[in-house]
Amino acid sequence: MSQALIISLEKVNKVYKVADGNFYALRDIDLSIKAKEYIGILGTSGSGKSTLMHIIGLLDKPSSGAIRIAGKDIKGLSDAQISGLRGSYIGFVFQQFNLIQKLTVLENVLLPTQYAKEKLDFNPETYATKLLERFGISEKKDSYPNMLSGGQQQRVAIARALVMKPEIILADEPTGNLDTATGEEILKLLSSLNKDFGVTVVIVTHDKYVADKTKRQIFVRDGMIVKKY
Amino acid sequence: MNYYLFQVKTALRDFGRAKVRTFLTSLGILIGVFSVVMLISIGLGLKNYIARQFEDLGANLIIVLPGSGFSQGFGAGLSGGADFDERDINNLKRVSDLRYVVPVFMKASSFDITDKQENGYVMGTNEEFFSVYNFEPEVGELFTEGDVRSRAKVVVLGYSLAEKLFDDIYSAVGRQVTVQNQRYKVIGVAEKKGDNEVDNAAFMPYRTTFGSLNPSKTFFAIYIGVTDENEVAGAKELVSSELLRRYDEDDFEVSEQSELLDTINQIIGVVNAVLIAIGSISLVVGGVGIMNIMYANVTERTKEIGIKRAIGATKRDVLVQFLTESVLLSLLGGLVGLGLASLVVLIVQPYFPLGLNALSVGIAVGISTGIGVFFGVFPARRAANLTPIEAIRYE
Repeated sequence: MSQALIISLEKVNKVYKVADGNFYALRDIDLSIKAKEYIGILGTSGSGKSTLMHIIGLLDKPSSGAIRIAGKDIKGLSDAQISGLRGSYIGFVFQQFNLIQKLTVLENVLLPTQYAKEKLDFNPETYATKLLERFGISEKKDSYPNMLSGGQQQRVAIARALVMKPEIILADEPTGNLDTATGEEILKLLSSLNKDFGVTVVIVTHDKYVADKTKRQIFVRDGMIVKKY
Repeated sequence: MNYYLFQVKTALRDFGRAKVRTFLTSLGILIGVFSVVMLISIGLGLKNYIARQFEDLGANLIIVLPGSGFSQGFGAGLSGGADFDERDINNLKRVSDLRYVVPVFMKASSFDITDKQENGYVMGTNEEFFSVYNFEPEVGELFTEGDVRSRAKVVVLGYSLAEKLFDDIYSAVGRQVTVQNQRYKVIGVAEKKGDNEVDNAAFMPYRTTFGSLNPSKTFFAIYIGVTDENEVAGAKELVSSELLRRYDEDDFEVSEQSELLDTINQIIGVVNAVLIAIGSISLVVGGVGIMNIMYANVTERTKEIGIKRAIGATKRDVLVQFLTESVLLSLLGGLVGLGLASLVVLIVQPYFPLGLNALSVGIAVGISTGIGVFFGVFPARRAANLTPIEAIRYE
């Protein structure tokens, strides 16, 4: 592996104050992910794997430690700078799909481009349509999410995650709300993103079967990384 | 798509999905803007109405009122001070340079003909009143100095009063009108002046009113006319010095038309401002309504805020989204309120000169935008300050 580091966490802690002291959701996490890797973060419920994903995705701030995304240290960055970094480097895929119900499929996919702070060097609508075509849902572009099956909704969510041409896709239990066959299709799709688009894909899951589909697995328990392959 | 256009389009689509809620939320602002614009229109209308009446009198007019006139408010003008009588008229007539000296007595009264009764005003004056007011008869003739001297029981009817009493004003001349059990012969009908009081008045020689209508034989005001506008200042001094021979300084007020108009406008302005301030309370209530709904909106759409933050929206983007919604809600209410007020102004204008100007439009748009910003900024800040993670986890 000769690629540069795309994600780097050093001594990251996430601590919550509780009635009887401090609760460590994450403890001394050191993690390095290289560009174009396909990684699974595996852990049981409450292990801290989702907190880890939120921290990697800049949705949450660590209590201590350093985070670098594409070499940029996020310490001291403003909300606008962090949002900009998130919008251009990271795409999210959630278990619940998290599509906005009042927007059409195409509008959902285009939404991240509305918040782009710099002029895009591609036509968002053309690119979004191309993504929908590739994922076999272009005929649904004017439909609303509630008119789509779970698998189709997750494809829309993946298209939305890709529309800003990010370098990282963070998928939180992407198959959790899908039947086995559809889940398989989504995993294939995520794998193809890594292979064909060269995107770093990080899948967070409790399911060993799902994690085994990735090229490298990280096990999280009690807020700590207990095993890396 | 342009960023702000996108925000406006999104907000309008949200309104379209919840039409009833949007309408009810904007209703407070609609009512508030409607009230304020109507009150401004009434104020402007009153000013126009009074200005028009004064215009009829010409610029060469001096008005003598008992007490302190209008300079200390309406109350001061209409209570206390001198009771002008015929002696004052005769004294003033002897002063050279005064072209017209017109006594004015006015009293609300009912007018009877055989089968009809109508309300109007008795105006006791002299023949010079018609010259001061540029009056011409529409039909028949006006009364003369001889009629004043001989206490002739004649009356010249205002146009509207004649129309109410006699369906055809041309049939009025020669008929009898009864006022307080006294019969008067109609000798003419005055042309229409567009002034409610004048058009509904019955003009009588002032001496004729000295019986039951004006037993005290006093006048409410004296109008003095001079030949040229430049003579007004000098004439005022002459009138004052003449009246001071009989009265104290505080017993009367000699004003030019423009002074009187300024004072009346000032009073209308203050009354109007107070009314507008009261009307504005509904704007505040409307604003609180918008704030309430916007807070509910933020709670309802926390998840949406979380999703948008996850895909790159900044705090500012969320702030702009919710501010756009509250400003548009308020502006929609304001514009509909302005539209309704304009409609009312159009309907009422033939009867009363209500005014609508750029100021009213500016105030309506400005106030509703301001309210949208002021009452929207707190809920919008709450939305913007949600951390992405707490928003996206919200169920």
